[in-house]
Amino acid sequence: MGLGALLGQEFRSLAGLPIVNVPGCAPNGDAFIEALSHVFLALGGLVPLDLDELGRPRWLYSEPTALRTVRRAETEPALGQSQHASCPVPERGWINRVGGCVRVGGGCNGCTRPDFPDGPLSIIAAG
Amino acid sequence: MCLENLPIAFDETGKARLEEAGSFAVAPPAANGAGPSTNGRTREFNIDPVTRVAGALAFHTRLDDERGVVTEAHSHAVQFRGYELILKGRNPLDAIDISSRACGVCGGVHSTCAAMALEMTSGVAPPPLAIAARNLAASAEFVYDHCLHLFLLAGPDYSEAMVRQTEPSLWERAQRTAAARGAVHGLQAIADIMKGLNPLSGALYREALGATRSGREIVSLILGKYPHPSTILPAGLGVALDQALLNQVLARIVALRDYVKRVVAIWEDLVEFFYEASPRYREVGARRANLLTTGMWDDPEAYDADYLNADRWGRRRLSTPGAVVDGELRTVSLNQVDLGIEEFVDHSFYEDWTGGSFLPASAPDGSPLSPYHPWNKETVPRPESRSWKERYSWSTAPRWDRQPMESGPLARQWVTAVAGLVDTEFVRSGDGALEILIPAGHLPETIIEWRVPEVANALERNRARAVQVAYSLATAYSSLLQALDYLREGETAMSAPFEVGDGVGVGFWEGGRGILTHHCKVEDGRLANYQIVTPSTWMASPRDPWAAPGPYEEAVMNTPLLEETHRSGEFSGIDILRAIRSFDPCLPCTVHMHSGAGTLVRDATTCACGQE
Repeated sequence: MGLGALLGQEFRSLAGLPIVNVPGCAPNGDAFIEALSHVFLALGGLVPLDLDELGRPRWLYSEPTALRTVRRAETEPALGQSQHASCPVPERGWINRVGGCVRVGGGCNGCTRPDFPDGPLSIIAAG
Repeated sequence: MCLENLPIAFDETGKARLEEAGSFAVAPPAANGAGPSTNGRTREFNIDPVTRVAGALAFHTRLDDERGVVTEAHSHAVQFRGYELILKGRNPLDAIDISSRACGVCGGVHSTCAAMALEMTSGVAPPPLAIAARNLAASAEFVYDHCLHLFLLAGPDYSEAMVRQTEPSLWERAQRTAAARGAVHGLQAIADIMKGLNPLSGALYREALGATRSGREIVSLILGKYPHPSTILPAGLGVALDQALLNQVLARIVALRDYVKRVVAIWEDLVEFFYEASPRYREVGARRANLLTTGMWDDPEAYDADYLNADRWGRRRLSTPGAVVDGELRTVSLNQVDLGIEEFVDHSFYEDWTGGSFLPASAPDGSPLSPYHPWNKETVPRPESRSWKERYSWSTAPRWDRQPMESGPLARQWVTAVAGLVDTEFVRSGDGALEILIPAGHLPETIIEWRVPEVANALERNRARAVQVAYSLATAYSSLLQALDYLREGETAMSAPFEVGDGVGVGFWEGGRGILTHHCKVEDGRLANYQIVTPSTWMASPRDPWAAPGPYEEAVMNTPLLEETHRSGEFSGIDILRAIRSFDPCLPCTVHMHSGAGTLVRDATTCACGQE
């Protein structure tokens, strides 16, 4: 997933930064700006860079809270089990705290998952 | 005759039949004519890449500096996309999500268009409230999309930062010229407008960022997210449209009332300034008035997703479908718009598919179909090296009645103004004119008037796009009022029961930059064929079997080199860029100018990084 597949997981920029992944299709704008601000703060030595094992901002994309987690519906026999996508949008909305997929009756196609878009789409329900 | 070059005739009831002894066979002219002059006076000039809606675009030209003209132009889509191949064999419902990814700006219109193609295949339409909601979201999407183009993508071409360099005498003149509509937009001189358009720093540039955000908030409220929506279903929307949600939408529409009046006034002033400075600006980007539109925004009481009734519900759209050839309105029938569409690949990196055996011979209403029609098309990539004389693009060459067509706000408004079928509280049409009523804000209630221009050129495309911002806000208003009426009447259903059925279907739904159609064929519950024809495919088209250039190519070849530095090393190609960008090719912010030797002469991005 992401740039790591091209540059290698060990890649470091001239400033010593690892690849920071902000997942989504498209990545949520508000989360992207928040992640970017965090990187600047980290570069300034004000906060430690807080990324999970997939290089994602930990507080945005790796906490499986009830609100942030949407579940693939049981109607997906090919996968054999329910799968989860972690995403801040169901809690925060899409832009300026409005909209946001399952928050307004939309489906979740798992666009923040590492395996997106391979595999069936359109069949994730709120869970 | 609606179709002059295709062997399809129509009886008094509009029913189509194949003409006697009629043939769809393509007979190219015996001789291609004399090739363009390549004597010592001309030089190559390449623009590469121009990223656009369906992949990257490059542009190759040959210039005659002495005469100040372009002698040769080739539009070259450099990337294979292959959405047709990705979708083949999949669950038809996947088309809604996957086709959206064909564009990072127009995902909403692709998803909606896919849903409509499936609705026709299965014969199920959404309930009225869902249709009104779809119209509302599409209107807001256009407000976002057109402002993005006018101020962030094309606007910098008319900014102080650009004009000072490319046309210093024009900049002098702009400082001396009062803006006629200053009372509306608040800027005193034309130079003030140009300063406002400066990339990143200009007041108009920055204000447009805010306006596009409002548009996207409305879209996100209804479609879940942007650019790739999550509530779109066949025969409905997943969102529950209630009073609270509509109030949030209304607040954002109200806040844009004065803005759209100012957008129109700014572009009216700019266009007139250029015309007065030199009548030759009428030639920049000029081409024959060949325009095509499927129309937009369905009447919830008329749309039934049935191809047999498409003529009827098409006429009831808030923007009228139709085709204009050489300035004459040929048809307003959605069926006839559809039947006239063909795609050719003689100069593209694809195999001719017409020897195939799976072709449906006719449309769902029995009308004859060309073997080159999208329903009959098969995508067979054929990668090979580029040759300007042979094959040079991953774009196909779509034609209507075998004519190259442009689309977009100019086409939508032209057809609607001449047809005179739209008459609502906010938009009136007829006699080649539009009147758009925008209610009072701080500025008084305003009727914005637009007339069909004498010529289809770069400035008129931009003027039409500015007026289309007001048009889109007007349709947002009327769709919102309609939705409130349905809620009051208890018509709250947002979706109808839907099951995937076998058959053929087509979605007709415009993107901001023009005509969009999705043609699908479902067999055994899977997609047997899926064909997307985007507006940029139409306009970035290479030459056709008759050697006629595509719209970008035609417009650039008609463009005079008015740039004052055009003989010096400072040459920026601004006239060519204005010509291409007026069609709103997607994401033109990545345009770089190269000399024939491939050396970067100058970075002409729409951001400030190219400005010294």
